[in-house]
Amino acid sequence: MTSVLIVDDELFIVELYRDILQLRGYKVMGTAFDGEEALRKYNNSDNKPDVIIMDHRMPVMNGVDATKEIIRLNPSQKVIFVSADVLVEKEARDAGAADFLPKPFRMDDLIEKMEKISRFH
Amino acid sequence: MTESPPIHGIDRLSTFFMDLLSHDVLNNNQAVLSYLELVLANPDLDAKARDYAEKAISHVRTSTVLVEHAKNLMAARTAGPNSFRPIDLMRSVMLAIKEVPRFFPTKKIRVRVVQEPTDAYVLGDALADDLVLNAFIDMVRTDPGDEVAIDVRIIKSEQGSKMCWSLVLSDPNAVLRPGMKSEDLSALLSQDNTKMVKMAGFLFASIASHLLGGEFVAKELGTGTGQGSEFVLTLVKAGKP
Repeated sequence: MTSVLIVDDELFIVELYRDILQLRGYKVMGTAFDGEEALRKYNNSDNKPDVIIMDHRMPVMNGVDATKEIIRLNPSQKVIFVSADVLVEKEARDAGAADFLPKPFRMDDLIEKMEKISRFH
Repeated sequence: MTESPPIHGIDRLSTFFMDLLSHDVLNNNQAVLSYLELVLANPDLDAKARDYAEKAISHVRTSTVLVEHAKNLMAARTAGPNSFRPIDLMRSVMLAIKEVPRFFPTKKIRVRVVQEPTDAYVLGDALADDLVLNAFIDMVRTDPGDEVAIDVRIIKSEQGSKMCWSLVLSDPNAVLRPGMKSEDLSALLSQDNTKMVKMAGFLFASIASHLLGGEFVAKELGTGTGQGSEFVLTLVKAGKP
């Protein structure tokens, strides 16, 4: 079962991803509301998630900076960047994100990208 | 060509506000879209409820495009004309033809390209894509029928000393509501927002085309039946990059 860490500062978005991904058979192993919390949870977990769904604009630490740190710790970690700001795509990919989805997206598109990434995990 | 409307209050604060607003609207659209997808995933959903949910999804798309277009327009105004790069107008048309049915799931849309030049490059970058898509959406929106037929031509034109390309969209069944003809757009540009209802697309087209050095004209086809509309989007010709 593919495991996921969800990072977004909007509670309703986190709940939405969690509900849908669980319904679709994914294991949501954690959630975080800013980049720093994501980094802390990532560091403290023995089992790393197969995929991290990462937002960009968040308090304390944004998604690009969090992605850079996570990739520095584990270069093979798969991060799917999701943002309402399409201009951040290049920055996200440069930081090490495996893929990018502009909001709003269809959950089927996210799941397709997660499946594609998981196959190479 | 009419003068570009004056810029009121376009400053760092309004750009910042637009940025925050669009971010939050798109986040909310994400939630609406995804919950509707959950509803549609129920195999026992009756046909009427499915139809309602699909219509709601199309409105989420429209809302998203409106926000993105407004954001792009604001960014383009801030960046200035030197930032506009050449773009293939036909490529923008093909993108719009592919996209526009997604906004009108219950309509059957047929687009016929009757005049298609090669290398019709115009100044405009992503804003030109937005403009063309916006023109198609508004053309379909003004057609009350379930089946929409649009003819597309791209022709050479001139604006004073400037060489241009004009994109002409014609629909014999489209009906321009009062105030939607180009000669009435001055009411919009005078910022009488009581008349702006349902005309955000037209206002966008007018402002964005002026910003790119061109113009947007909406007129009746003159069929004598009270029906028939033509949109002409004229943009400044650019060299092939």
